[in-house]
Amino acid sequence: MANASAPAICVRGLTKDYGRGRGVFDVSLEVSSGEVLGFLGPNGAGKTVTMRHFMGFIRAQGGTVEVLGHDCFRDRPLVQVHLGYLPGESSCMREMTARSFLNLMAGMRGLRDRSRMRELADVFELDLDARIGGMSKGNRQKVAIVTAFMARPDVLLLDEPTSGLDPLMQERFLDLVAEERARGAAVLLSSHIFEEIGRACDRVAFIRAGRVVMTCTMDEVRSMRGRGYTVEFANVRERSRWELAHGNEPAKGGARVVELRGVRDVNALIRELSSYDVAEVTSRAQTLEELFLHLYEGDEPSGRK
Amino acid sequence: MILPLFRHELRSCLFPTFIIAAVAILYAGVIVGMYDPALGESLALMRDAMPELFAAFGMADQGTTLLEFMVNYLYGFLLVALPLVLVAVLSSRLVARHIERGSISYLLAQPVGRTRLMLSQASVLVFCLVLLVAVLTAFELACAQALFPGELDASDLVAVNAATFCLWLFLSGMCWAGACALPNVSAARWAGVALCTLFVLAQMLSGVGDELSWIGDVTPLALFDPLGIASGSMGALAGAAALGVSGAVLFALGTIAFERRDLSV
Repeated sequence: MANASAPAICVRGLTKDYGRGRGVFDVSLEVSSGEVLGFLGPNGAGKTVTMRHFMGFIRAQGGTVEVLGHDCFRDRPLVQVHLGYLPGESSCMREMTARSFLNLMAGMRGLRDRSRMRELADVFELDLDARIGGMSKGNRQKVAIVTAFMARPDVLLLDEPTSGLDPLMQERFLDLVAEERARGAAVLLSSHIFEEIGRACDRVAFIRAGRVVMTCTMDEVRSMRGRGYTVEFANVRERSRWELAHGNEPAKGGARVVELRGVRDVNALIRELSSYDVAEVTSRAQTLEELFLHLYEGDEPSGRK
Repeated sequence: MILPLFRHELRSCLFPTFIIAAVAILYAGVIVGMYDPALGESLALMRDAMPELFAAFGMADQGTTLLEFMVNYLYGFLLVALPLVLVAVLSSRLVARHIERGSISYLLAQPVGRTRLMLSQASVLVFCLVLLVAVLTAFELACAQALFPGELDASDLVAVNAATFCLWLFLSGMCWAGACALPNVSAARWAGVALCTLFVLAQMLSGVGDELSWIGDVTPLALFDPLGIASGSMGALAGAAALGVSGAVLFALGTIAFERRDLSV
């Protein structure tokens, strides 16, 4: 590695303005070796644009983008020696078989030892002799995963990596990410799947409209997570009374159930419910999806910066 | 050059090269076979009946030797248009298609550098053109030797074909520069070939009448003078060299543009 003390991935003040509010603005991120950073955000928020800067596909208008101390645009070949990339779109050469495509990528990389490639193909049960064009989306994604991981890179950029994979293969993929983290690789994982982020990542960064609006550790995320409650009122009249008390329209139809998300103060809820005729209250932990939903919807972040 | 990529791309480019080579040598065989004084007279009759049409396709004069006959009937149009189709297909296949399909992201993700990547792709295109000119030259010589022994001066034919190769390099450079530099994939695929087609059409138009002859002189194709090459004219040699150098410069400019451009793939 170029500089062992510096973060493996370092972005400071990255700006790329495509006009009409599109692009990324003053994005700053750091990922250390042996760390997995989850990159969350709605479609078009700027995740892939940020990834493209790491890959040296596009030049930053402002700020610095470095991988292992090398400028990602100027020193592209130096950066890519250490980098494994899984693009968001599965765009392998469709006319080739998986084996010939992987051999081509390994050959271009100067990778002589193909044992890891075969090992990963076995883990993901990939038929190396099948033509990529005839593969399902999931199998094409497996080819992309093997391509990204086969050189045991120091830095991994994974854009929607489990897209199209079945649950078993998603599990194996998460095991692979954990293995790479333990080996010391720095991983930036862009995903829409909250469970995947929750399981794989040490930290999470949320990007919206091209700006990173929240960065926190998964421990902080867990402490921020409230609980969700399902309250079943004794009758519709009671539920309507609840809705009116919270400034909502009275209940329509026969539904007696209210879903409450992100409840932090359970005592206050119990006190309030004591004045209603309640048939049943069940509770569950708030999902990451619920936790971040307000960011997706465009509210100001309630988490810490 | 990136050898694994070169081998892979060459395999995918050999088929269109083979097709164009087959068509070119078929025409070459027919034209050499037509070098018959009796048939020549009937051709002259046809030419007299339709002088503008023959002139448009660069066939205004039959010539007195086999080489002149070949130059008039082959090198004025067919050996410009057919290779233009090939370079359009190959530059699209080697650059534009990778960008359109997104597979360029995998090529760019390897630690080879954009310049080396593009030089490797360009070398596939140039190799295919070398293959085409070599096959064509060998076939023309063999065909002429079989049908009209001693009629064709081999060194003159090689010189004409070397100049033709310089013209092909120029056409390739035009298509390559467009494919590498233009951000819109359709424009990248068609801009170079459209411009080259315009040059060819201008050449054809200039042969139709004296009042339009100036059009041909303002296109770069005017630098291609195969008969002048055969007769050892310095001007024709310089013209061919200028075409070859321009082609190389266009390749370099395209590669530099590709090195610097943003690629949203």
